[in-house]
Formats: sequence, C-alpha cells, structure tokens
Amino acid sequence: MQVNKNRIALISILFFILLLPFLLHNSKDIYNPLTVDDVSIGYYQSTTCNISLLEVYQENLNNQNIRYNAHNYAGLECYGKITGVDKVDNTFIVSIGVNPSLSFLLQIVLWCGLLLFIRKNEKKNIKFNNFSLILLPLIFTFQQISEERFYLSQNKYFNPELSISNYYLFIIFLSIYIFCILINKVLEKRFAELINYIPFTFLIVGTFNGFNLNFYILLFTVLGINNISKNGFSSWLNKGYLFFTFFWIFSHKDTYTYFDTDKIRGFINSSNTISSQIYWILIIGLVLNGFYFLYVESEIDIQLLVRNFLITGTLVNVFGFLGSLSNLLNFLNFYTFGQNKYGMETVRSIAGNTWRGFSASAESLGEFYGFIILFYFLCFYFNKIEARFWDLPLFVVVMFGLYRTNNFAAIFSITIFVLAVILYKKLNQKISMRIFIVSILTFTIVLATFVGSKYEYENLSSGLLYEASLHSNFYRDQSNYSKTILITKFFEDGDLGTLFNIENPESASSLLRNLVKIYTPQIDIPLFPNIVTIASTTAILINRTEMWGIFIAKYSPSLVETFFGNGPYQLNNYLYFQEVRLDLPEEKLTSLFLPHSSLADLFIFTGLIGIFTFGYLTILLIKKKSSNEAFKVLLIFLLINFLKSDSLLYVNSVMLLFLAFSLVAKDRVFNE
Amino acid sequence: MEENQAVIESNCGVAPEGISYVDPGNDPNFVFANDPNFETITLYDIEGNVANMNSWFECAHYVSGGWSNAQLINFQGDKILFFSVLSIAVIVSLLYFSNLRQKYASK
Repeated sequence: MQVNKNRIALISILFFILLLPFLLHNSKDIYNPLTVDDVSIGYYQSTTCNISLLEVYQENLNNQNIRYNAHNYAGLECYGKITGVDKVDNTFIVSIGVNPSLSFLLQIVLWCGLLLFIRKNEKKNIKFNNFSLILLPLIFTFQQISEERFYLSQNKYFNPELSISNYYLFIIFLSIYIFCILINKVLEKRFAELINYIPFTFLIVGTFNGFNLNFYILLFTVLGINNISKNGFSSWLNKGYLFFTFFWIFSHKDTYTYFDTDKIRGFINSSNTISSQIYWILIIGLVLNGFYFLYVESEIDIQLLVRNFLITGTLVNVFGFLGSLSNLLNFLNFYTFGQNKYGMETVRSIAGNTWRGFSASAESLGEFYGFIILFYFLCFYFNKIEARFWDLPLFVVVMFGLYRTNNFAAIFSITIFVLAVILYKKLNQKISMRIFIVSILTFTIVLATFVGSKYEYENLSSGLLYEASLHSNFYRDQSNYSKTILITKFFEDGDLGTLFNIENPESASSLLRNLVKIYTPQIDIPLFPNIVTIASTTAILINRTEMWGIFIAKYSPSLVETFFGNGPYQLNNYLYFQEVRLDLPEEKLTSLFLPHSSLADLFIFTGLIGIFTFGYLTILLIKKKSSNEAFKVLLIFLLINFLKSDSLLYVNSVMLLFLAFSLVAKDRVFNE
Repeated sequence: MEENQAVIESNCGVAPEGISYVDPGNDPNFVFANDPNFETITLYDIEGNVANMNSWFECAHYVSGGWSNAQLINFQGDKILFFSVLSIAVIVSLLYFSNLRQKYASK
C-alpha cells in the first residue's frame, strides 16, 4: 500500500491534537504529581484539575495497581487532568477529566481524518448534497433533548432548554455541521471505495465519549440523506419502513423507563419517550438508506478487502494486548478508538470476553475473526486473490484472536463450512447443489439427534418453557427454591394448564403464555414439528436455554408489538415492562440480560412481520443465481452465528452483515 | 506531607505561628474554633458548593478534603468551547463553499 507522507503527517498531527490535553501541564506550579497510594489519595482529591495525566503516569510508571478512568462529568478546565483518585479493592482508580463536548469535536476531527487513508477512486466522484449540513445537525441536536436522561448524567454543561444562551446545544449543532462538511469533502473521491474499509470498524469502534451516538451512524445518515435526494423517497424500502413507523408510533407506550445503554451505547434507544422514539425511527431509516446508497455506488475490491480484514484482525490483537499490558494504553484505546467498555486488563484468557473494549461481546468478535478466516479461505480456494507472504503471519494472528474469543460456535461452523465447501467442489460434477444441501442438513439432524439422545424427549421439548417459568414471577410469596420445586412438579406431570392458568394467572409474560399455547395445541397435526419443541431442542444443544428462557420470561408484547415490534433499537419495553423474578445468584441479578439472539432482537424491534420480511428477502437473495456464489457461504455463516448472539445490536457487526449481503448481491466484484 | 502543605498554603496562606495542620479525624463533635485574626476565605468544591473559612485550621482541613479557592464553576468552559467551535465552523465553511464555487466556475 502506498501511503502518502503528507497523510501520515496529518494523522500524526490529529492524534497529537487529540492527546494534547493529557500532556499539557505547568511543571513549575505547586501541584506536583505523587506516587498513587493510600497516603496520596487525599492530596489528589484536594488538587483536582491541576495535575495532568502525563505527570501522574510518569510518576507511577511501575505502579500496576492503577486504572485510568474517563470522568465525563468534569468541566473543560479539567480536561486531561486528574479529577480524583479512589481506591476500589486493591486498585486505585484515577479519574481523568474528559468533557464530552470537547472530546466530541476532537473525535470527529480524528476519525474523519482517518477516512483520508481510504484510496481515492478517480473514476467515480460523488457530489454530496448540502442539505445534510442543516438537517443532520438539527436531528442530532434534537437527540440531546429527546434522550435527556442519558445526557443529563454525562455532561455538566448539558442544558436541554431552547434558548439563545444555551451554548451546549449550539456546540453539538456546530460539531455535527463540521462533521457533515468534512464527510462531504473527504468522501467526494473516496466514497466508491468506502465499502472495502468496513473491516476497520472493528478497530475504530466509533462510539463518542459521553454520547449515545456512534460515528458510523452519523456517517450513514449523511449517506442516507444523499440516497433520498438522489433516488427519491418512493423506494419499496422507504414505503415499507413508513408502514412500520405508523404502528411503532401508534403502539408506543410513553413510560418513564430509562436504559443506561451499557455496552451497546451509541446504537440503542436509551429512553421510552415519544420524542426519542421518533428520533430513532428517523435515524435508522436514514441509516438503511445509507446502506442502500453505499451498496449501489460502491465498488468492491476483493484483494483490498481481504487485506484490510487481515490488517484489522491483527491490529485488534496488537492493541488489545498493548492495552492489557499498560493501564495508560488501555485508557487511550478507550478514548481514541471510541470503545464502549474499557479493554481487558490482563493477558490471561478470560472466560466470557477476552477482547472486551474492541467488541461489546466476545461472540461478535469471534464472528468477525471467523468471517476473516472463512473469507480468506474462500477467496484463496476459488482463486479470487493472490496469496502473499505477509498473509501468513497475519492469518496466524487472526486465528489466535479467534481462539481467544472462546467462540466455539464460530470455530465449529467454520470447520463445517470449510469441509462442506471442499467436499462440494470435489463432488461438483457428480451431484447437484440441492442434493448436497439436503445431505448436509440430514447430517446435521443426525448429529443433533445423537448429541440430544442423552436427554429425555420431554426435557428437550419443554426445556425452554421450563427455564422461562423459573425466571417468571410465579408464586410471589414463595422463595426461589420453593418456586423451582413447584414448577418442576407441574412440568414433570405435564400439567402446564394448571401452572399457568390456575396457580399463576396473568403472571407470565404474553410471549411465554403464547408459547405454552403453541406447545400444547388443541389440534395435533401429525408429522408437523412443533415450533416450540424445535426452538427448545436447539436452545439446549447450543447452550442457550437460560438466556432464551430469560428473554421469554421478560418479554411481554402486545398484539401490535407481536406483529410490528417496539420500534428500531427500542429495548425499554423488553427490559422493564414485565415483572420477573430471575432465578439467578444475587450478584447476577443486576446484570444486563440481552436476548442472546439477533432473531429475538429483530422480533423486539420489528415483530413477526419484520422477521418474515427479512427472512423472505434473505432466502430470495440466497436462492438467486449470483456471480459470487461462494460468498453465500459467508452470509449463511454470519446468519447462523447471529441466531445465537446479539450482534444485531452492535454497529460493526451490522456493517459486517451488510458487507456479506453486498458480496452476494453485487453483480460485479473486482479482482475475480 | 510537603506537597499537601504547599497546596494548603496556596489556598489558606501561611500557617499562623504555633499552628500546624493535623487531621482531626472523624470526630463528629469536633468544632472549628474561630480565629478573629484570620481574614475569612471562601472555598469552593468541584460541584460549586461554597463554604466560608474562619480559621486557618478550618481552611486547611477543607483544602485537604478537596476544596479550593478557585471557583471552577465560574469557569465558563461551554462559552469558550462554543466560540472555538464557531470559529472552526466558519473557517471550514469558507474553505468548503469557496472550493465548491471554484469547482462550479471551472465547469
């Protein structure tokens, strides 16, 4: 890759500007940095906003018991300075003032600057519409007011009042305006190549510090506006979306619930007010238009895409490890890459989430690494790329990354897909695709039957309902232990009617009650598999019974919500509407329980009609003859893995899915 | 601690003769004795709360607890940032729109 020296210099300057506030200090003042220990805590508490991060770091180079934390609720005068030290267990938490209003501008400038690294496409110039310069600042300033509860706790300057003296809102408006101008300018000649750089979204996560906003969402709304201005509003996508919007607004429950966004900050509705509902409907509508615009106008270059995947996979490993070795780098990773959570603090493998920071969940990063491996294999196997010497070490690092994610499902599915592809190519002349797929499905069913044979049929078929019942608010006056015994007895007797209708009427969620009705039908259709039995067996085989059980216990949609959902990225009703009593250890009760299935996420957002529409369109695409048949394997790999993860809630995973769709649907892919 | 002493002195002045700061601990009955010779000093905490100090010892105690004579709350960071962002926006707009005009002119 030819890298322009001026560009490198520019990026160095941008990084320097971003980090400058943490370096600035007056070495001649009376506020000297001290070794952080029990004795100096009081000193740091009394010298807030005077000692810079650099000073403290230099003084504590060998101190491993320190963690640097961003303190958003600090004023501009404290930016990059220590705002306090606290001791939690044996770790000293050093708070660094990082006011979101300023960091927002700095992060915009840095990340837009990084877009300069995208290769120019001289053949394809896009003239961006200037309408976004006014519309987007208005929309995103409106978000501040619509998600007031979120921003109130994030920024001391926050003020939702619409007045001429409210500098806070003007800062947001102007920052977005600057963003739009930068994007219009930077992407003018680079837009056609943008799709080839999607892998980097896994390195630069792009969540703005102290904001429920993501850089890529901003970017795609710009593209969305350009799509509408160029292709009009009357596409089937917009008409369908408008149809859903009617029901989302119509069925909206204006309740005072609030979701603190946790690890999905930037891509989730924090509030349940009508204004935030409108904001998210608007934003996701524009993002979908943005995806379409990118799909239509982009030119996929396989060689470049593969290389970018390998580089990103390696860089995530490298920066992840550096962050685990240095507490300062861990903080800087969080700040410069726009992470939602701080990275891992140890190089030891942690069950659960080894690549925390770069990804909201280990599963999504496992899918990313799995995607890279499978993508590279397919391109190499079908001669779409030329292997280079440097590919090997990068590939090994990526494989190591996958191993560290502990994502067994991704590893297993890659193995199956690789074997299937090799087998199919070998047998290509002898059997048809249909027979091959049927054989694979039969093999999978036989394997599942073999694995499931250690369970009793009753346990397999009703395991999910049983788990959901354990987490429901049954027998309110009994302890969890007694509740479990009673519920177990009813399930063993097969008397679900008494449990749900007589013993605990109206205590279960509407979803659980309806699933019980489906499980115990009035008319039994022979040879027609019960959908609850299939879901329950699948859940047990892939170890999702508890998580899906909690989802069923917690989600209680109305009739309209069942068919049309709650609205895009609206989890409030799922999280807080239904009263449950989770049968979990006390320390886990306050955890965030996401559905652990993108299908369930889609069900919450768009209901059954959304699921069927998505499913129908996906099947159509897969069935359609494509010039890139091999990439269908990638799409199926992602879709299968999405079924058991919440990847639909993560911006970069959604973009990866979009890329997989584009690879299959795009008629022309370069370097073939 | 020397550094702490310097911070206390910068906020409260030099300790009167014969008085040095010793942490009174968590005694709820402890009362700060007024010093008529001490000129009242106003201290602020990080949230903008105000407290008037009537003795050097009281002042030293508050400073040790994170209070300061610098009223950070009065620092109008949002105003400064607003004018900075406004300036950048104006410059970026001028560059962007003049560039656009040039392009149209060349066409």
